[in-house]
Amino acid sequence: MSSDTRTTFSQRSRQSAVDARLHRALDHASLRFLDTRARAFAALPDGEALRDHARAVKASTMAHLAEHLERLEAELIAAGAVVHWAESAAQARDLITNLARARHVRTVVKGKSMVTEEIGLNPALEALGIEVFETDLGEYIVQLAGEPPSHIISPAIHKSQADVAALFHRRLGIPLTDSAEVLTEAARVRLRGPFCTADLGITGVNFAVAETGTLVVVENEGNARLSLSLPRIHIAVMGIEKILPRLADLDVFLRLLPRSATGQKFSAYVSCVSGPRGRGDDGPDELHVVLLDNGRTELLADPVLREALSCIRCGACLNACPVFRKVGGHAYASPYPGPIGALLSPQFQGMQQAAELPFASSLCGACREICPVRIEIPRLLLHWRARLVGAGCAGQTDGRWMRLWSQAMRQRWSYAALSAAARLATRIGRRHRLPGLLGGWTRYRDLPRPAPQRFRHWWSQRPPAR
Amino acid sequence: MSDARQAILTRLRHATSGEGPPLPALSPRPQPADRLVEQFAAELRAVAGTCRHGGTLDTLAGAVASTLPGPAGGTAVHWNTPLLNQLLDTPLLRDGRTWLAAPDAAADAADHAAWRAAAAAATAGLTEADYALADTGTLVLLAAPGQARLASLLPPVHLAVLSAARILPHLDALFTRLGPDRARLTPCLTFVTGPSRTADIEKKLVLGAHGPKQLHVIVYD
Repeated sequence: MSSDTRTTFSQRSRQSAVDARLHRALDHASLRFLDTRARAFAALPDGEALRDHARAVKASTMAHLAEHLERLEAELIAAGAVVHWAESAAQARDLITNLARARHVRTVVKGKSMVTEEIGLNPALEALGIEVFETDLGEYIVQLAGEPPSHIISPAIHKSQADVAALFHRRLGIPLTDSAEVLTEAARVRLRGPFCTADLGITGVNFAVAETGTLVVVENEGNARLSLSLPRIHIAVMGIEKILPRLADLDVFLRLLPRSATGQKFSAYVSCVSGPRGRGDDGPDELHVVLLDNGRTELLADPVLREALSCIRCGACLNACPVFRKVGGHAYASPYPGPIGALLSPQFQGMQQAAELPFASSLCGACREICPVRIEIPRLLLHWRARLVGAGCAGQTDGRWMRLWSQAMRQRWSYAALSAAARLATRIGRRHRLPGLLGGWTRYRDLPRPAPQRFRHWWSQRPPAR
Repeated sequence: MSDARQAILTRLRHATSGEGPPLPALSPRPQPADRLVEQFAAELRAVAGTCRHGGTLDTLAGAVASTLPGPAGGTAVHWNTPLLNQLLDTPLLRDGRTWLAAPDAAADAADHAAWRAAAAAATAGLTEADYALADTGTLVLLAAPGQARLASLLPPVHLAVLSAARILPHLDALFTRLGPDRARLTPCLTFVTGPSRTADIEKKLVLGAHGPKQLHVIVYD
């Protein structure tokens, strides 16, 4: 559902860039996100030092990822959990569907998890006749609407309240209302049954502490707590980069993530799971952890792109990005949209699929400024552009024009001819719309007006220096 | 499956050859010790929880009774701890309300099933808090025999009694106290900061998405 291979980013973004309703929704939400985030960081006395520290922890962790993962696995196994390793999205899907089949699972409740979108889990489960309920309100909304999520923190950010009311009316029979409370209550009531009867709960993992084998799930609604406590089996799916080495590191990241994502000092619920239930505890009988690669080891092997794995999925870069604000998350056709999505999607979805994304940026750097772990996003975008061009996935047309231009500029006669042609064109008055192939250049720009006098002419007329 | 494990670990080792900066040293955050109760109360109220001082253990039953939302009647669930069992032995709290205690270590499958049904139908859940964090108004709940998770999750109202001595300044102080000890973290350590909430519809804040709509904390000395 999340990869739309029939259209291009250019086509999708051209449509959404003129969608006024989308812009109203995105502007409203983004400004609120940015405002609350700014206030939260302003109130944090050591915010900058915290970000530097977090970046350093991630950089060091990436260098020793193998040993941290082995430690995490050992701790989890000692606590009674089962650890699975998946090299690819397909392997991860198979692991989970095989387990679901073996355990006679009929209903699944899910916490919000971008990694399960990444591996295309829901359709695979549904193909077995298993009913899958997204329980995060935003995810539930887009599931009812048959759409993919459009933002990693707020999946239904592109929908107005009226949109949601109409959707709930159509799909759930709820009378039309203009109350967000009524709509939220409707979801609460509707999902209570599935929570209580589900055989399997699936969540993502925000952080995994290697030292103690602890999986940390951060949320506000309580749906993740319900998903990892009520069903008899809990499957936690995590990218291998989510590791933190020490319990004490968690303090830094739990101070940064809520502030950066939603402007909160602490999210309403943070669950630290270190095993299946103990005696007398009312948790799941089984805890399974799926450690997913799916291209992360390749990113790690690239010394420039490696820092993209530091991302803590706060979504701040999406809120800051002027491109995202105009085109919205669906234009990216990836579970990871926005600036970080432009870095991760070419790897996770493949270069062919996501080749346009690193080019969909003005390199303004707003993302880099706001990133809590200080990922150098513009630098990494440029690196991806070079790789994509080198691999033949992008820029071939640009390349041809550049070579032509370079030839023309190298010789005096062709330079003079071009200059004369430009002056002629402006006199005819078509600065804003060139014909034919050149029209691509002027679709979004006007040709600059040439100076009244050519530089060479002016230079030759200057009085000699004394 | 272990092929995948081996392949991933091998790729990881080749990817970085172990070269990278050392882990930054950890400097524990200073731990202020004064006015923790006041700070905790202020932070909790800022996130739409309520906080009151219940005096001492002697006056606690009265404080709980007056905080529990009316009307009485229906079932409420509670942690199966000595303190709460004693508290609920008073007529003030017994009258007009049925209480079910969380399963303990000896509970069997039937007990667990009954517990889940009761928690799902309960009007309130009464727990203690193992610790609290003053700088964010956060409760720390450890899953253990008698300390069931669902008591603070399924009912629409969560009421927690908290000993003032258990309030720590911040998260770092908690991790220092619990140490990197998996057993002490228990199978599930839950941080609770205010009632359940969502802002997924036009960024409008709504309380009580899937978890409790109300969180009340009573602090005692």
